Amino acid sequence: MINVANKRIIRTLAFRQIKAGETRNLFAIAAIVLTSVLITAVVTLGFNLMDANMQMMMKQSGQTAEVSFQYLAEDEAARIAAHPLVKEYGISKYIGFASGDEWSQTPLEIRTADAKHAEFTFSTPTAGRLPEAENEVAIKSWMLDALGLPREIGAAFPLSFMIGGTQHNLSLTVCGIWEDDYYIHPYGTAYISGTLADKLLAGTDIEESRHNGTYSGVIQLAANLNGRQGDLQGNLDKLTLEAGLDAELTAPRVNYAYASSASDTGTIAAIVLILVIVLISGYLLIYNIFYISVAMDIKHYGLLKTIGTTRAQIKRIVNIQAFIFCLIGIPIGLLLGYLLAVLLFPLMLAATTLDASLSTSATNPLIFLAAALLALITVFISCNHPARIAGRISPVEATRYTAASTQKRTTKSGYNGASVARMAYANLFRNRKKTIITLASVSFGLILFNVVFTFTNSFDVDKTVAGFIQGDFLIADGSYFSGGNSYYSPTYTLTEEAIEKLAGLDGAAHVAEVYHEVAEGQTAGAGTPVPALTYGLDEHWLDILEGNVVAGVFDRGKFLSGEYIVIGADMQNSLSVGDTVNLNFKGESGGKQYEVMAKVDYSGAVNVLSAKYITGAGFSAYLPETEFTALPKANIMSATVIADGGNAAWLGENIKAVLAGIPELDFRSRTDYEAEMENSNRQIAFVGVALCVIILLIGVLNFVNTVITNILSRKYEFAMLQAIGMTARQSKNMLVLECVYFELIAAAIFISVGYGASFGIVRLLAENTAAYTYEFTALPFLFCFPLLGLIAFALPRQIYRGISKNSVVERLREIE
Amino acid sequence: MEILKTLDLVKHYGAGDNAVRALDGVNISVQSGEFVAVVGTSGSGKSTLLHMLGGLDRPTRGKVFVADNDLFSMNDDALTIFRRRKIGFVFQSYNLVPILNVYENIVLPAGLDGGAADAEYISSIIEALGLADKKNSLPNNLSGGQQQRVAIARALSAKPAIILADEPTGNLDTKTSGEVVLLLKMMNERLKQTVVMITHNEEIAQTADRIIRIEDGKVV
Repeated sequence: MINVANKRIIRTLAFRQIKAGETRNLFAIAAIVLTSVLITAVVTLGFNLMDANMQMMMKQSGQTAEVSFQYLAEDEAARIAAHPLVKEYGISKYIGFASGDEWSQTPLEIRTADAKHAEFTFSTPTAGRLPEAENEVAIKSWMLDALGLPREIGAAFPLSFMIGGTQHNLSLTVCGIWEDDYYIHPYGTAYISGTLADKLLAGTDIEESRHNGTYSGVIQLAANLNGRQGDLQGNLDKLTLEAGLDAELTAPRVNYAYASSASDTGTIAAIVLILVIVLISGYLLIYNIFYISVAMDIKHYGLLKTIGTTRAQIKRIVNIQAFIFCLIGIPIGLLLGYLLAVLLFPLMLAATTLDASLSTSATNPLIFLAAALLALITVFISCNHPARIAGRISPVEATRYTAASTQKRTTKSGYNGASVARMAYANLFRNRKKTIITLASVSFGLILFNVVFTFTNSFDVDKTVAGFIQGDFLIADGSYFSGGNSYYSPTYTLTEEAIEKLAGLDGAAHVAEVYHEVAEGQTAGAGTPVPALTYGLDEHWLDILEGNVVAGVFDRGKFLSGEYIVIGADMQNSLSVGDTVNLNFKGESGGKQYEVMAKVDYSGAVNVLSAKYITGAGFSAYLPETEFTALPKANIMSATVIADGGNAAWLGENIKAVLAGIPELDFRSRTDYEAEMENSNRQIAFVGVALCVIILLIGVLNFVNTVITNILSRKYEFAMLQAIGMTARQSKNMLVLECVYFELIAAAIFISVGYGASFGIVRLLAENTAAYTYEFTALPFLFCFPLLGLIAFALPRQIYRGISKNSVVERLREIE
Repeated sequence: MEILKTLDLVKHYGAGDNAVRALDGVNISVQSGEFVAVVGTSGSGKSTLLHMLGGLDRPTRGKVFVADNDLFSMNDDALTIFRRRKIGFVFQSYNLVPILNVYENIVLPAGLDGGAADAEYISSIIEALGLADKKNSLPNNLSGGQQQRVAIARALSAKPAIILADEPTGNLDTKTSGEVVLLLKMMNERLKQTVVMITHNEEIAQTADRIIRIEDGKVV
């Protein structure tokens, strides 16, 4: 039956009912606010995290464009640009490599670029503009630092390079600069004007330069495509084919930031899991509030049914009320949740491998839409069953309905007499369903709180610090500690002399060095040599190598013989155990043959022994230090002081004193790293605990609502009990005892399931992340239960006082 | 014309030894425009009978016809809709909706049905029942007699086939009881409205055209 006119009276009934139930409204709105705060916070954090991840991957890949062609000739680029599949594109022409010592470790590419290509590759000048005149150049700001020039527009920038065998030495005027980002590869870029490029490239055969690998004059084209984003590879293949390009030669690539987000699955799964937990706890609360509200209004609904309100109409009355609560609660929740997320996100980034520079607070309207929708769905699922109960009520039953009517038990044996304690216990299970739901909601919050608390409490500093420092003090050139934020030009200021001084200090048991060299690695049968990051290790480090072997067998004696190397397993290379490699160190001719003895996991402790910069294709190799000390000039990357167990702080002071004379050197102590790790763990803990406290609050709110409505619905019963001789004090005690029994059960669940869950979950997580070791803590219990106890003692008395103001006779009559 | 009829109406509560035969084969018939009083002591089954007549509860066996409609052949929703169109209730405890004012209470059945109430007709009832100056009051500001008059107005508002009144004077003092019953009688006569009233008060029952007596679930 479709009937529009009856909606008005239904709406009136719903609105009036809202007006009549102030306490209930407050609880319902608070419940919806809390639930949507959590949903919004989690959804926003999730969105931001994925966004940050995407940004990071784009920056690592070097561009925001969806696809790119690496090596194109002019006519090929024009064909692609004109293809209907291409939505927008940017073009950059490669000119050459700068020569000069400044650019030996961090290569400098000279290119042209149009504005779009600069935008695609994070290189739009932030000061000045792209070059137009022949003598202009736009560069990354640190490149001026490298030459000792001020970061200013108008500076003269010298540039030397070879094209097709011709040496060019130019001095250009800086017309634009931009900052480099943490994640961008530390490569130099200098943009010159098209006119200059044309001049320089005159006479260069692009086909030839593409084939011989100098690539001068070859065009890189970055583009966004039309069509479905999900099928970038397919579209790119189509584009390549229809433009008539040789894929082998032009190297079309899909930006891996857009390719399968497999690395994201973990994050997404975690966010979805948290969302599910949030939705369940929100459901339990909102369901209980509506269930109790309907139960209390059951006579009202019965009466409406008697007069002729249909099932569907009564359901609509309940749903309209829920909708109005949502209209008030969800916007508040969205706002608060968003603010919470903005506050928490920087802290959360600290917990991940993402840099804080990605801390964007994305205001994607989709976030609010998704969060609002989720909250709305949760509310309507929650009140669906209560609304059905209200609609199903039989008119005659409604007039007889009391909250106690769900009991199945029909007899009760024994004659123990009545005591307040026994009555309280019996009352606890009067409405078994309500008790169980409240218990579930409270326990859920408590258990989750416990898990998160235990998890952060189980953070193992020693395990984590092991990835940063082995031993007590790490000494190296200042650039070693500055991370990927600047270009890498190691100056190797650490000398044998300084190390001898350090070794002579009181309390220093040993100083273990790591030598470093970028060598040319030539594998048998392969064409061009690849960069090999080689490290010469002090004997002290051999245990660490041995402990991280993932392939092959580490033989200490053989290793020290100098005929063998150990290589890092997760570098991209095709080397395997038993292969022979020729390593050619700088300044040496011919090089030396080594056999690969084993592969080590490069990500953990071995990382401490490795350089912190990114390179292209190649591999890392670990050798005994004797291979380096034999070189004419050996570069010492770092030295680690191992204390003899005495006063480490005093040793630290002494090291500082030694280093004071060599300002280029810097050092970190184990305690520095420990403090840093503790701090980042505290930040993670803060995020987790903040979210859990809200879930805990949801549980407590559920408990409070149950207690209040429970007493209110038993007004008549208490009047009757008083009439037959139960004092107000006894009634209050009975109510307090009901709460206490409830909490005892919650405590039992907490101790068994709560601690079981935190043990299991933390153990599981500890296996995957090296940073955690399960550690028992009683703090969550000691924090939560006194709070609940306080509620149990204060709340029932307060509410009872409210309902027992009038005389017994008045109360009995009032309810009739 | 016969407006209400029961056929061997039986209602048992419980089972086995504890079974209570609240109604034990009741056959009654009420003509259109009649004012019938059902009289019996407490526990005689008269309230159960009224619940059955109004379709509020389902019988163990037997049938009830209101205006030739077999009540219990309908499903719950159909029965509810039938009730708001064809049956008016007046309860001992008034059962007004506390959150609606007097006028809203009176037009509630019409409103639920989606139609606008017949405004002229409604105002004539309100006038006749002396509620004209109370239209905007909320139920809890009214005396018991006034509340019961609102309940009568509500029962009449949908022009039902029959009004079922369950101890309509049970909560009222003697003087007010007399007034309320006289109002019912007046409406019965003026609007040719069929009324079935349950009472245990012989004096009030005398107002009716006919008295049906019930004892132990049977008509005597």
